Amino acid sequence: MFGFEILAKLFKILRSGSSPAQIAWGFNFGMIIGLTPLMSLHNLLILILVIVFNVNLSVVFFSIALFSGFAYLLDPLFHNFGYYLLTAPEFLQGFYTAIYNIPLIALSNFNNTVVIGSFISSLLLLTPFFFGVKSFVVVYREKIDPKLEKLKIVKIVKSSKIYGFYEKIRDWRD
Amino acid sequence: MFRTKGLIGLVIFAALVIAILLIFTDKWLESKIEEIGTDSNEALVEIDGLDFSIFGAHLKWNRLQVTDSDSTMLNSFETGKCAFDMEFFPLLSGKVIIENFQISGVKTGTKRAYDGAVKKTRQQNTKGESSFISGTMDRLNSEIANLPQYRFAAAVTKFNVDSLIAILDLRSPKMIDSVRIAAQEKYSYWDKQISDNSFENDIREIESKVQTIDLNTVKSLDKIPGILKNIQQIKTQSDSLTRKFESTRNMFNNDLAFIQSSYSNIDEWIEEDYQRAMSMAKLPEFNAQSLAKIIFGPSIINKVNTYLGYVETARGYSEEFSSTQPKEEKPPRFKGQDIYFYNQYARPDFWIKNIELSGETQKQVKVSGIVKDIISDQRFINRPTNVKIEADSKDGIDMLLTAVFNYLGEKPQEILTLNYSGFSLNNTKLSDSKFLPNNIREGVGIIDANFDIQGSEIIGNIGFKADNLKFDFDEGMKAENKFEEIIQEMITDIRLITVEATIRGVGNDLKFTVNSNIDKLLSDKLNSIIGREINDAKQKLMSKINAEVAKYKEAAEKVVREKETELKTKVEKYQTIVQEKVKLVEAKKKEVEDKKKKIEDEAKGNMLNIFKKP
Repeated sequence: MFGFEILAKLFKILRSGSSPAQIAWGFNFGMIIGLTPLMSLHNLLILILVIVFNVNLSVVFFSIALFSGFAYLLDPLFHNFGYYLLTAPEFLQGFYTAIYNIPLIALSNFNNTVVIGSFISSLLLLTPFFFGVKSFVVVYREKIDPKLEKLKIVKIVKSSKIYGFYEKIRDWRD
Repeated sequence: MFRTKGLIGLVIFAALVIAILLIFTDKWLESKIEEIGTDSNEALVEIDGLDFSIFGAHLKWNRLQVTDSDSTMLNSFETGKCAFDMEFFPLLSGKVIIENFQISGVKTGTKRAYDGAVKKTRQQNTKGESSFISGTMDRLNSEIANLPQYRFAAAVTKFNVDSLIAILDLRSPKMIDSVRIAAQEKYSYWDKQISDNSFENDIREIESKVQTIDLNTVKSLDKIPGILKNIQQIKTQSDSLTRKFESTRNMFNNDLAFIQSSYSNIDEWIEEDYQRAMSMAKLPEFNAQSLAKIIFGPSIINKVNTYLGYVETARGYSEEFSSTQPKEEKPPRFKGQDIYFYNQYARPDFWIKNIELSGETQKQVKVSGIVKDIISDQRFINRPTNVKIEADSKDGIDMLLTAVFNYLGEKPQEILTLNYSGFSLNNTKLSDSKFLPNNIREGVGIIDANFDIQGSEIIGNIGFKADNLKFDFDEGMKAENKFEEIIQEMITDIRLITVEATIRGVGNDLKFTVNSNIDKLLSDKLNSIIGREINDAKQKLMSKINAEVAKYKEAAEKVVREKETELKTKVEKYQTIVQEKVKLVEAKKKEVEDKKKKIEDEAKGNMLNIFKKP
């Protein structure tokens, strides 16, 4: 039921009134929060951005849940990448040393291998994910969704009692 | 683009967070400090009445209790009200700088209301120079674990010869039996050889040939050459027989020598079995060194390891902050590894500039001390951490503890000295060892200890003197065995115990020695009484092995004794006969030659008579 609900929610998001850019930003913000350690200063900033700007909140939560799983799997890679970033590039050592002693930035825990490794990784993924998700939403709305609606299986599911029961619960919750 | 409701929500959320922080920071900080303290102490650390003012950067508490990890119903120490101010701006960079920290009302050894034990979870630091410390701690622990104390008494009292022999599987009986079988085979071979050989026939033939020569019938010289030729042939035959016999006799003697040589190994094999049995029995050898270690080693090691634990922690932190290229670790998931960036013009991550402590122990001993510069990285201030704690009382107790933790040089160095005198030993025990089980009724102690650890080198000396001693001998402490009897008898007269322990180590090479004035007394007594029992046990073992082996040895001896004599007699008999026959041939030859001469002489006489007659 839970998986069905998530899937339904995802389809609902894709077809919702939110613009493709809002959905893509929501996905990206969720990705950063999901991939990086939750109790980090930068996540507080992301959270403020999510609350202040009109991004799709459902997508944010969906994305956090999705990327938290990836974060667990990718943690050793983030650690290795972070260790490399913090120790290998000679020219960055001065920069790191400087910001290590700047108030508040020092509290960001950037000198932790997993924090910087996952954060920089998510920043690198930001642009391709933004345009990728945005394009997918456009394509989905224009081409895939009308076709899906016409599928027999969708019609059968929609006419089923379970779906009707689900809609009642959803309406009741809303 | 903006979410108006979101902005309002954010403001409300921020206000809530601030309110929660103001209300719950104290509790959160208290539990966090307790958690970190408990983790590093490996026993409960508790703070009562913590009050933290974030804007004033001020922290105070009413009471701090640090549980003694070795005795968790007691506190190592506790403090009364304490307060200190932190520098505010460094806090924004996550740095804690404390100018002056006054700890008053310090009490040591106070009783706890409940058990302060926790499950030990702290992992040992095993990197860099601090791994030397943990390695040294392990090696010291194994010194104690390998002491023969557990089998010391049991080795003699539980010594069971029969079960030991059963496990041992004696090798000598099998080897002795194999010697017997080999000897038997050799003897059978020679028995057959001597019986089947042609000596008898040859002897008879020579004898009959000699007898056929009848010189009485020989009247003229013309038969003599034929007889001489015959005699020469018989002599050749007898010489051949002599050579054949000598060759056979030599081979026989060689085989006898081989059997004798195998037989002579039997005692060595029995000795080997005995030595194996001894090593399996692990009968102890007493010496003063092992006794001193048994009695005082565990408590000394326990104290030394506590100190080394602090050194290890200090070194671990120093390495973390001083390394220019930190080694990559394998942290748990989501934990990561913190990389430290040193800037000599910035502030250190942690620095307590000055700690002043004062207080009193349960026994009215006044304690005061100064700890200077507990700092995350000594390079910021270019001076080491110094500790100086003093204590004294009206009863004559005097203590001075100094410590220097220096991480400025190429190698980390820790120096510690402790002079503690005049402390009471009343109602204490010197050792948990069963060799010194009695409580001290009266006594005064003196400790002089110094440690110098530099890099992977440790030099430590601990001197302990217990004077004016009187031990308790209550009714319930009757000696249960010989050991306790000896100890109690010995310590009745002891008034002074001195212990000198030294620890010397470079890298993996560690030497730990303990000497005490009671070593000699104890070892002499133990050796004279228990040594006798050990000797009895050894004799018992030897007798049992001899008894097990005796039947095999006897059987082998019997074979050698009987068959060798029998065969030797036979060979000697043949030797005599052969020699007789050789003499017989020689005699016959001489007889023939004499006959020839006689005939020749007679012939000459006859010729002369013919010429003399007219």
